[in-house]
Amino acid sequence: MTLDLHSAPFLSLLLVFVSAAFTDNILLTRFLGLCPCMGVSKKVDASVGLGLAVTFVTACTAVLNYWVYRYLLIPLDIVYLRLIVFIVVIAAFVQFTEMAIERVSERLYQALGIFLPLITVNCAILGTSLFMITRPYNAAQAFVFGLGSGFGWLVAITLIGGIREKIDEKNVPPGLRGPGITLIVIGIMSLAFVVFSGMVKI
Amino acid sequence: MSANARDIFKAGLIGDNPIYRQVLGICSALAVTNLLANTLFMCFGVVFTTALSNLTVSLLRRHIPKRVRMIAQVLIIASYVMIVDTLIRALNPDIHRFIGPYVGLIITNCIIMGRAEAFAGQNPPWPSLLDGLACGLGYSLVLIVIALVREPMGFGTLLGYPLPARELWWHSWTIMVMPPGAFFMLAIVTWIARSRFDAQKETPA
Amino acid sequence: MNRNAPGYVLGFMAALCVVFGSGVATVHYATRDMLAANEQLNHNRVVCAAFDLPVSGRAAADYVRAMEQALEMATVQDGRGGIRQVYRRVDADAPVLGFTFWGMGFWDRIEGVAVLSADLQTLIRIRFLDHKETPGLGARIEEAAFLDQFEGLRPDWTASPERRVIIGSAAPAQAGNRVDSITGATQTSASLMQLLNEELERIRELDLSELEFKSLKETAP
Repeated sequence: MTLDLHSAPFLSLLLVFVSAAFTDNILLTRFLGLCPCMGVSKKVDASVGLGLAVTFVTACTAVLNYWVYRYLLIPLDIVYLRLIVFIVVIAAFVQFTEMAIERVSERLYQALGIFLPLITVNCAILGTSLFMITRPYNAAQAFVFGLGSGFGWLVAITLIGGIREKIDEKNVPPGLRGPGITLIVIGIMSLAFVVFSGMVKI
Repeated sequence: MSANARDIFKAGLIGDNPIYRQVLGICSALAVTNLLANTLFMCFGVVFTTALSNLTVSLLRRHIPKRVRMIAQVLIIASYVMIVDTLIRALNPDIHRFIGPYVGLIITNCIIMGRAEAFAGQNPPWPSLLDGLACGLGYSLVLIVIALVREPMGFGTLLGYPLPARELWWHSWTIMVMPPGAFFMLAIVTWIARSRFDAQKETPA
Repeated sequence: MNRNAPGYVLGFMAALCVVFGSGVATVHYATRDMLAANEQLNHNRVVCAAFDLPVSGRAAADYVRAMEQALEMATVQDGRGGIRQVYRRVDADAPVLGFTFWGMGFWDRIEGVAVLSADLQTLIRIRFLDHKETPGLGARIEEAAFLDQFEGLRPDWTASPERRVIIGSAAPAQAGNRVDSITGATQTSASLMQLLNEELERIRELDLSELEFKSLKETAP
C-alpha cells in the first residue's frame, strides 16, 4: 500500500513508523547495528536497556539532523560534509544526554549509562539519519522515522536476547556457542523479516 | 621487532581474528561475500583504511580526551575515507563506479573502529600500523573463505567465470546469494575455527 | 594537563572538526571542476548507451558530438521540484524519446535514462546513471542480463498504475510487461518496480506536444 505523505497527517506518521520498525527493520533487513547487537544481546534486560537508549537517541538525532541538514547544510551548500556533521551531532547529543541523565536520575544513569558510549558507534543511528534525508519527510515524519527505526532495532535485539537466554541453557557444541549460534539465530530471523517487505511501502 | 611483528600478524589472522573471534565487521561481511570479486575490493579497502586510521589514532593517542575518543576515531576514519573517495572520483571515475558503493560500508565497518579503540589507542605508531594490516588481513581471510563457498553455490561461478560442468551439479541456491546465507556461512566458519584453534581454552563469548 | 576538563574536550573536538572538515572541504573544492566534468561525461555516456548512438571514440568530446548530431533536448518539471531532461532522436526514421528518471532504491536514489518509442508503447532501453545498491545484490541491476530484458518491453497502460511494468513473479512469465527480478535482491527489485511505474505515470501525464526541443549545441553552456 502506498500513500501520499502530505495527506492525513496522523495516518502518514503511523505508516512511517510501521514501515521503519517492521518492513524496513534496520537490523534484520539492512543489517546495520549488528556489532553492538552481537555483544549485548546475551540477556533480555541488557537488550531492552540498550534498545531503549538507541530508540531515544535515534529519534532525537533524526530530527536534529533533519534541521541541521535543512537549515544549515543546504543553505551553506556543504551537503557533501553531511556524514561528518551527522557524526558530530550524534556524538554531541549522546554526550549531553549522558551528562543530563547523570544529574537528573542516578537510577536511570545506572541503568542506561553503560550503554551510552556504545551508542555513538552504532551504525544504525547514523544510517537512520542518512536514510532520512533521502526521503521526502518533514520534521515530524523524520522524528517518527527515527523512533520507528530505533523501535525496530529494540524489538529485534530483545527477541534475539530472549532466544539467546534459552539457547544458553541448551547443549550447544562448544565451538558454536556464543557468536556462532547467535549468527544462525539472526539469519533465521532475518529470513522471517523478509516476509514483512512489501507490506507497507513509502 | 620482527618477532613482535610476527606476533601481531599471528594474532590478527588467527588468535584474535576480528570476525570469528572479536565478532566485528559483520555487516559488511554479509553484504559483499556473495561474489568473490566484490569481496576482494572490500577487503582491499578495509586493510588500507584500518592501517591508516590505526596509524593516525596512535599518533594522536596522547591528545585524545578519554570521554570523546570514540567520536574522534569515527571522525578521523570518516574523513579519510571521504577524502580518498573524492580523489578517486575526480581522478578516475571509471574505477570509482566500481568502488563507490563500498565507501559507506567501509566507514561503518566496526573493525576499523574496534582496532583504533583496542590497540592504536595504547600503542606506538609502528605496531599500530602493523596491527591494522594484520586485522584487515584476518578479516579478508574469513571473507574470502565465505565468498569461495557462496559464489559457487549461489551463482555457479567463480570470479564471474562459470565453473566446469556446472549444469551437472549446480542448482540455483538463492539463500546463498541473500544476506541470510552469509549468516549461516559465518556461523559455520566461526564454529570450525573456534573448535580448531581453541579446543583447549574455553571462552564464554 | 587535564585531558578530561570540559574546556579541553570541547577545544579538542572543535579543533578536530575544523582540521578534518577543512581537509575534506579542501579536497572537495580543489576537485570540484573535475567532479562536475566527470559527472557530465557519465551522463553523456549513459545517454549514448541508452539511445545506442554511434560514438567515434572514448573521449568526452566524442560523446558530446554523438549527442549533438543525433539528439535534441527539452527540459520539463519532474513534478517533485526537480528538472527532467527529455531527449528526442532526430536522425532516425522512427521517433524515439529518452527521459531521465529517478526514485528511491533500497539504499538511496536510483537515477537513470529510459528510452521509449514516441507513442510510449514500447520501452526501447533502460540505463542507470547512478545508484548505491549493495554490490553483488541490488547492484546487479546494472548487469546486461538484467538490462537486456527491458528492450522491447511493452508497458501495460491498461493495468493499474503500479503494475504497468512488473519486475518479478507478480505476472505470468510470458507477459509482455514483465522482467525477471534479481535473485536475492528482493527489496531492490521491488523499489525499482515502484519507481519505474511512478515515473512512467508522470511521463504519461506530460504533454509531449508542448515540449520545446532545442538542438544540444544551443543548450550547451
